Amino acid sequence: MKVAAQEPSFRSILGKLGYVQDSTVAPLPAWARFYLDLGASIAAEPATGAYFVVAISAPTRSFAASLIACGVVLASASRQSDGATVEHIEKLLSVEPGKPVILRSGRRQLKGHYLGAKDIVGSQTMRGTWLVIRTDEGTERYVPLENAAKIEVLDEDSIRLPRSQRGHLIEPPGPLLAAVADEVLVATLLTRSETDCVLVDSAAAVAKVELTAAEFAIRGAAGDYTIGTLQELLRARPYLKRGTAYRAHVLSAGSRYIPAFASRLEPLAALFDGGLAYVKWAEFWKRTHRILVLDRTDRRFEDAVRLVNQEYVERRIDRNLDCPLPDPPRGVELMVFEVYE
Amino acid sequence: VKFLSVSETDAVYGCSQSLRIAMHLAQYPELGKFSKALYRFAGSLGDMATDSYWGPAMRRLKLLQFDLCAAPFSAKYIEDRCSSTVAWLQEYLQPSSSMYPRAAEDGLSVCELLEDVCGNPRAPLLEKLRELVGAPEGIKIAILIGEPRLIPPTQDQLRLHKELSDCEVIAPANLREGVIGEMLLAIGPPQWFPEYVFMAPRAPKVAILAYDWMRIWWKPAELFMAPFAGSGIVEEVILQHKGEEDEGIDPEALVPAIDFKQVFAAGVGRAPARDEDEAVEARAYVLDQGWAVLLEAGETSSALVVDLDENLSDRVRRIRASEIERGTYILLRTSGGGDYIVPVANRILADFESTARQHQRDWKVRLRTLFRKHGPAHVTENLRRLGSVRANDTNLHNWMSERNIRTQDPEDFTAIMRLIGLGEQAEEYWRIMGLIDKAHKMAGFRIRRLLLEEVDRMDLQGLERIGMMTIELPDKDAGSLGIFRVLSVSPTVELVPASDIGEPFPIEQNGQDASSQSLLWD
Repeated sequence: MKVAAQEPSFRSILGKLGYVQDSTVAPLPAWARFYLDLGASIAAEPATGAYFVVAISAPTRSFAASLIACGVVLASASRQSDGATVEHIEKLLSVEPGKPVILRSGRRQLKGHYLGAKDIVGSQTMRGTWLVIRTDEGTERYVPLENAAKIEVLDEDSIRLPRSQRGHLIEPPGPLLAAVADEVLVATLLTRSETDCVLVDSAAAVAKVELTAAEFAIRGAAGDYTIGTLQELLRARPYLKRGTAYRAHVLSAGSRYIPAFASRLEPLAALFDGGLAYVKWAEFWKRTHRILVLDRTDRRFEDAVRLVNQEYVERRIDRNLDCPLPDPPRGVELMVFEVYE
Repeated sequence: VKFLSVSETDAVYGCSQSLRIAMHLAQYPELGKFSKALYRFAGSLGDMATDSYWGPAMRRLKLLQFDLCAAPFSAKYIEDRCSSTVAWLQEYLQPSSSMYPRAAEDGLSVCELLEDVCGNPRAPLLEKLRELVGAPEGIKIAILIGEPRLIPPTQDQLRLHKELSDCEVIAPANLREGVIGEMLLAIGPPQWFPEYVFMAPRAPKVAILAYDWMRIWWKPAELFMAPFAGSGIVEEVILQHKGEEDEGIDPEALVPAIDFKQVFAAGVGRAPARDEDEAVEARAYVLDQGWAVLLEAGETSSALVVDLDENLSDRVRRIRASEIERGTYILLRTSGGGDYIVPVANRILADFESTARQHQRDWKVRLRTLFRKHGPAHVTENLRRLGSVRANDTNLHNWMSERNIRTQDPEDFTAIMRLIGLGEQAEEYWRIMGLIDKAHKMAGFRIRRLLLEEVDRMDLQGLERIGMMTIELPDKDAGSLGIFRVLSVSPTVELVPASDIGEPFPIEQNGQDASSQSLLWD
């Protein structure tokens, strides 16, 4: 894993994150920042044939997996939106004219046909390269190249455009997300469904409370606070309205349907919250980074430690890790190694 | 698993930041001398220590010794319990003077040392506790008892002392949630407690309180094979106390071992014997609070369990008996026979119950009669000849079992009916057995639904603390049920009467030691 050349903006803003307790806001403790950073570090680079196994022993499972998952999603979505400026433009420039696309314009999302790139040289105000999208009969919209992230190429080969199009209203971001992420990252999270992270939880009911009810806050420039939940950042599918863009799945370790999910979900990282989740389901996600959160008091703690140690002995890739992971806080033990799928 | 807020979680991490384990030692030399003598006596008896004569005496003495070291009892309690044990032992050992003169002499010496304990009744653990709680900087202490069986009597003792009445008495399993006070005081040496008590402490201060004649030693075990550089492992904490003159007793030796021979003996023959009773292979399961149960060991045998880690809808489920392990919470009927499905199913069958059950008994009794008369080989061979495809020793035992309703395949059933002379009525019997089967399934659904409602209302923390809880289902036929934590499973199986299967029983039944075999909980 390489050190990112430039720290993504959300990471510095996350440093200002706090939590709400009895109507006051307290700074996020060091252990909580560690988990956010850990998730972001693991997701900073995509896996290429080799995958990380990260085992964490913590005094309590509380919030560890939820925060790691948020770090994974923010880093992954951030890379997606940042990377768009190069990778995404190259992809757009190679797309055949007429290919269906989505164009985000303000708070609306429009369907369109991509017509290609156009260089304008004469006009003072329009000089430069523009990406041209037809959104309805007779309307062509010119998008500056630097805003290419607002265009998303659809899988469909063709779509019919309406005679006149107002577009769909994009769901407004939650207050915490709006405060943490820039406009492009917000748009990426709200409009593109991806499986950045699968959280297999031995205590899924508790994870739901952590993600959707526990309040976190960011202090604004004027000293005021913006309050929201981790779910705004994670966008876990089970807690979203149908049809809205998601970035993560939360599954109960007791579910019978996990093998079915595992066969069609290929996340960037699979997160196992609790010994039971890891012992039962780790085998089902081999082509992804795997992060195991173990509570010292967990009934299956020793079983899971034995299993992960066994994997270290039998499957680790013997090479030095170039892993810019944050230092764990006291009381947290960590083991990190790489395996091939 | 309970939700912890960020600040509650932060408090837990705070306890891990400043891990210090204090060691408080109490003196009770008379108890130390008795313990050493008992240890030597057990060694000199060798294998005889678990035989039918010496076994009961050794179990009782070891249990007494362990209990006095594992909970802060009052001087009066210690005196009463030791005196009754001395009286019982003197009488019990009388015949041994002629059978085993040397061992009897040693046994009586141990008895004399126990008399010294009675003669000097003190309560050093309790006194030390009062001292700690009553100190000027008095802090909120939670008292950790490794053996859940000793929690209720400890709580009773503490209530008698004003300064201790607010102390919470907890089991290690209760440390799975948030911080429980300013100090966690574990009664007994650290070797008796799971590692998370010290490595994931739930109080800023952790202390142990043990007798000074014990050999105390503890250090954290290695966890991961290759800890990440910079991994936040707490500094190595080592507790060490060698005991007096370097001859302290190893605390592991004080923990009474489970004697499964005795558990089986206590569990067999409780139900009135019936002519049609068959013997089945069973395992013994030692449960919390001094209980045990025998469960059929066959591959198809199953039991209802309560899984505290699951969401409510999945919390009650049926698992194979072979999957039951230490820590499983198993659901058992505490009165009226082990099977809680049968009475509910009978009510569903209503007026037809008597006829249906009579038919069920009829074909099984006939089959068993043939089995006893001609043996398994003859019966299975004839069943195959009559068209059975699955007849073998194991299935034959299952089919004869009262717990089984009918065969899976009608062809096997028809072959049985023909063999026992009921070939003409095979279809009718198959239909009636089908009705019983359906009633059992309906009863199972109904009980599970009622159980889920009860479990939702239950104090799960209390269940984890004590390891056992009784519940009354609104359905009167289901009767009293108990949820028990499994402490140990017998490694071997034994043949027991089917009527003794499934109903929990107390392991010990002699006076005040009826409580149990002791087994530290982790």
